[in-house]
Amino acid sequence: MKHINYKELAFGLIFLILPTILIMYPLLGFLAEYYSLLFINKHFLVSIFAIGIVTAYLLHTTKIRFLILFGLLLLVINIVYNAISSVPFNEFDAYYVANRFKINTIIFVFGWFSGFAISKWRYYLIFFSILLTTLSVILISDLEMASVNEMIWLIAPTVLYLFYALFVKELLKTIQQQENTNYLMVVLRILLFALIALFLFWLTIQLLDSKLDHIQNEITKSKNEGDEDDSGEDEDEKDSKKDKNGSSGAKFNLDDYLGLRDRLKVSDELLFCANIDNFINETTPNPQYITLYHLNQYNPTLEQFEIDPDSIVRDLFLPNPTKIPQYFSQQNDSVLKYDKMERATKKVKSTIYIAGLDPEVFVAPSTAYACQPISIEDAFKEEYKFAYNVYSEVSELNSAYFVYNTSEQAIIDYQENRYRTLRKAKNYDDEDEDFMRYYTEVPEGDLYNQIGQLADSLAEGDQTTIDKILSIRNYFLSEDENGNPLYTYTLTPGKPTDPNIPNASMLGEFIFNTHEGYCTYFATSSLFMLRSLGIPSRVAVGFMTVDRSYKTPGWYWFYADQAHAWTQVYIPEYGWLDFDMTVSNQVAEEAPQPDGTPPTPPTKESFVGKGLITVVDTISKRMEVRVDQMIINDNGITLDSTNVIDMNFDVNQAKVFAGEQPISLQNVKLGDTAVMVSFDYKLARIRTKKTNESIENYMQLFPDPLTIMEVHVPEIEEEKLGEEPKDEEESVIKTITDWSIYVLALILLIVFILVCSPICYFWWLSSKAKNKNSVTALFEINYKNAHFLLNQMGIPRGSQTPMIYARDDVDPKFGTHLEAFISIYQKLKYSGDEPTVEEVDFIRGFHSDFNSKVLSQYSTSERFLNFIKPNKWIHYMLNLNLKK
Amino acid sequence: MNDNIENTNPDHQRFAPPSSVISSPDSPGHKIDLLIDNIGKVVKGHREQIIQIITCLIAKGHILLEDNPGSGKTVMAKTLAYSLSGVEGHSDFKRIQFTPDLLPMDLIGTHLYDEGNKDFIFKKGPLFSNILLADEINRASPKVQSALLECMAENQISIGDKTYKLEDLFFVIATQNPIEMEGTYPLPNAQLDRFFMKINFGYVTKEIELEIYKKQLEIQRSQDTVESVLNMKDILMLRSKAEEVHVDDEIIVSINNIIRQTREHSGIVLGASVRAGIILLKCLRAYAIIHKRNYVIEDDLASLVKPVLQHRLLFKNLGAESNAIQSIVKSEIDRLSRLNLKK
Repeated sequence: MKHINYKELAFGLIFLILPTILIMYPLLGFLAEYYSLLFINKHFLVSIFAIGIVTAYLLHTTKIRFLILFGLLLLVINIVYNAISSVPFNEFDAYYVANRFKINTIIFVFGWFSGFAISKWRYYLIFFSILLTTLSVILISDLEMASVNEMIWLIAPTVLYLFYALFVKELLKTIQQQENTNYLMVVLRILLFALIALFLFWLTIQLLDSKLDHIQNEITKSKNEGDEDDSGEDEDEKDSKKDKNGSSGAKFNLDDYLGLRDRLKVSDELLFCANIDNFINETTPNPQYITLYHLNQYNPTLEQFEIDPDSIVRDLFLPNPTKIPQYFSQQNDSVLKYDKMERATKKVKSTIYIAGLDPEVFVAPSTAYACQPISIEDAFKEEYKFAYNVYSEVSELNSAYFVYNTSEQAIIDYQENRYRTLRKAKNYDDEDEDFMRYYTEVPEGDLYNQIGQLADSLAEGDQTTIDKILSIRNYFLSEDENGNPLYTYTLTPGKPTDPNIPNASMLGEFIFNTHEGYCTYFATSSLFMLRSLGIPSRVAVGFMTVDRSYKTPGWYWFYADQAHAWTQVYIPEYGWLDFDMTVSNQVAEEAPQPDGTPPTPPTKESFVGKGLITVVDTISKRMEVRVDQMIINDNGITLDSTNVIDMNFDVNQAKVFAGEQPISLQNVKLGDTAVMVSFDYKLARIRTKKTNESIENYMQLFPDPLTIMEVHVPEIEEEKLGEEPKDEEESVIKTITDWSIYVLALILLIVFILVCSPICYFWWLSSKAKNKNSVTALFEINYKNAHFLLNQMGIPRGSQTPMIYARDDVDPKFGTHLEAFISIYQKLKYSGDEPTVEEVDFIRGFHSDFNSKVLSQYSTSERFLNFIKPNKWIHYMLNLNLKK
Repeated sequence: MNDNIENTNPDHQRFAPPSSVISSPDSPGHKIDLLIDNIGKVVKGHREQIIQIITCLIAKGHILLEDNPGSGKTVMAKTLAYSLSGVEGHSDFKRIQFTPDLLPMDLIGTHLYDEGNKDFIFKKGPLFSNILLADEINRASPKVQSALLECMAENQISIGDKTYKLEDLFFVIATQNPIEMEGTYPLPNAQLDRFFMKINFGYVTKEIELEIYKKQLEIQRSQDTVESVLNMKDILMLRSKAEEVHVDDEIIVSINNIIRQTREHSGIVLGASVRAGIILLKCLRAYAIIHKRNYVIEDDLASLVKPVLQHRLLFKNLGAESNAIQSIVKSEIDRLSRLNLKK
């Protein structure tokens, strides 16, 4: 049996394994984000890694054979993996479960291996640190990180860890071997690795250089955006496009819905919640699809849709909600050129509460034209991170009910009624030529001709657009000769296998062979059928609305597995209407996601004022703001620069937010733009401003000071974005400098603790020795003091008995009386007799005599250097008896 | 550096440990110093071995010396015997050279026919002595060996229906030769167990060997004229004093730990017995008396565990033979030296 030194084990665990786990935190986090590891959050990944590393470290310190255990582990994992991947759950889950298992086990095995290697191989840490640094560099260059803070978060800990881990490992090694001469080697080795690490760091900065330029360009662009409205629009769209393809990809991958794939990943994360105020009659809700964007351009080679950046028709309102001040709205109804119809339209207000989605991504019904960010009730701040109102022009004839059968009479009547109305609609003769060409474009090719022929045969004899649409819908819903549905919904349609189908087209395979696919297949095929019939149509990507809650009509919850693609058809006079041809997904309907609690909308705001802060009085809690924009009971008043008014606000009850972050009033800066919000019901009685009434007169109606409930100031980062690019560069440098100061301070603190603790311990012992203690305590302190002092001076006792140590090593060298002391000490310890008076006197004088004799052998600098050597100190502490 | 101390701090020169720590002339251990010095005049450079032999003597045990011929085993035994005085003159010292044809009666003695009294009388053999040197014990037949060992254990001899008591002070110094193992009967482990210690003499240092050559005649002469410094009463007194030596609980725990660890150690096939622990305890007490203490300290343990236990254990290999005990003792000394004082 090997004797296990538990203290050494604990030392290793705390000082080596714990930091290793912590260092994996940012790295695994970014890894999870970058590689879109579904379902998996970084805490989970890190805990798996931690379990692996700790288990391995503990097991292998006790001399368990590595190869056998590791082999067994891999074998078990392999068997489980194979078992999981071969078991089908319904039709889609197995792949994800198996993949998830694979990722987890890779991380676990990596942790296990690291734990083993750290405990056994001296040089593993070098390899490990270099691996980490390389990974960080790769991640940084791939992640397109936007802020310097994030970059530093990724690199700085790795570099710090490199120094730290090497130092600790060498220290532990030195202690294990009980060497005292190796200290210089440790320092030399650390210096060497420091050089390597610095080189890698430099390399990273070089790699990042172009990224920094990129960030600057982005900033310049967003600066210009503020100046021009039209180009700002453009920028917004690009931004959101980037967001949708990039950052939101971490949550769920919308790219999958753009084209035809052999299998589709789904997750069940809650993305957002919406309240759509659209009803057929008083009680029956009329849900609307929630659109992310419209797809107008099709790439026949890749068989996927692309967002057309040069679209001649701008047909979707795409603001960035986070850039709009709270309670103020951005609107643009030029996008509704083809939706703002005279007939059968209504204004619908929807409220969107963003949970899992990126708040910069704007989701709304297709025909939205205005967006107004609002605040969230405190109780729901955890669950939802952002909220906004959306106003849209919705045709009364538009509904998400098209394919699904329903037994509710109101809906059946509604459907019948709307088909009747649509049959009377005009044809496309009066429409704009460019518009028609753009929305009826079909790619060249045999496949598309075949689809056209199919559509023609389906719509034979149909006169009106709606009848043609219904014919196509009925085709998808029709049954084959055996009475089974012709088309079935599946997330894993598979790759084309039939060699008779030319070019192995997924689309051709779907329409003419397998009849199995997911929403994008249905949307794509119906799009080309409609277009070949000359009906202007487009594909929209977004979220299917499933009305599942009868308790809270009008509230809908959107999970990642509700991402959807469907067709929209343009009908003259009625605009774009949703016609979803996808057949129902049996699996999803049988196991719907749970509903949440509706986040009660906050009290109606009665006053909102925006302007520059001129006075902040933190004592009497007053603020003075030069207001240039106001909303009073939903009526906006914009004041031009000549007649802005200074208003007094009472902010006693107000909560102050910087962005979404609550801050205190002290942090509000003069000159910032603030949005003051009041929910005071008394203000609700104030009448609308008359057209030619002067603002001063109108303001007489308001109390002075006005009581405010919420104050919103811009986030600090946003403030920076607004500054000149040059300033940004400066602030980048400033951030780096700040960081290096922090890092330096941290290093200094560690060094200080390492240096000071032995000296402090020595002083503590000395001061205790001088106090009037009990004889026993005096003996104890002297015994410890002698051991400690000699240990620091490089003469540890080692395995000798104290008596022989004193007689052979100490007394001849220093001329002390340690042997006599030890013999009295041992007499007290083992004989049980009380010490004599002379002996006690001797002990009282022993401390100062011993210390001065030993210390006088060393010069001051030698003393100091000996004292601060941390390896001796740690070695001493490890050997110290903790048992009382 | 040394000057420094004297110049700056004259006080420290006056600082000295209390005299009681340095010497206590009236303690019984003081007499042993005389004995050790007396033997040391003749047997140069083996102070540690002398102390170990005296430890066995005071612990009422016997000792087995193992070394090459000519390393001073016999001289040692003789000098020890002459340094002790019996009732009249020197103590009774006998020496037997063990050979394969030696018979038990050569040790014990025989019954002879007395013509005058027309009766058998018992003629006492060499066992009836104070100090017996059994030279090359492994050369005799097992019969003889067991006869000797029985006497050592029982301190008495039974012949026929009569039991003869041995001397109160009966101390056997057996020797054996590690080389020339041909035609020998190595002592079985059970019999080795009866010796309190087995020690090796080893060679003396270069300087002492030089001194031995230079003063050869002088040493020879002093060998012949050894004075007796202690008498039997002193030894018996020391033996009774040794029984009063205080052994701290922690020391006993350590003895227990050491004995148990020999049984669990991976390099040891056969661990130590309970008797080994008891013998170790006896030796520790004697050792403490020799060092003028009436309590046992960890240093005693450090120097006695090896000679007491080494020959009782069966090791797996040579490496274990040289390291096992040392590592066990080291861990125990570590434990003891880090113990805090009892409050």
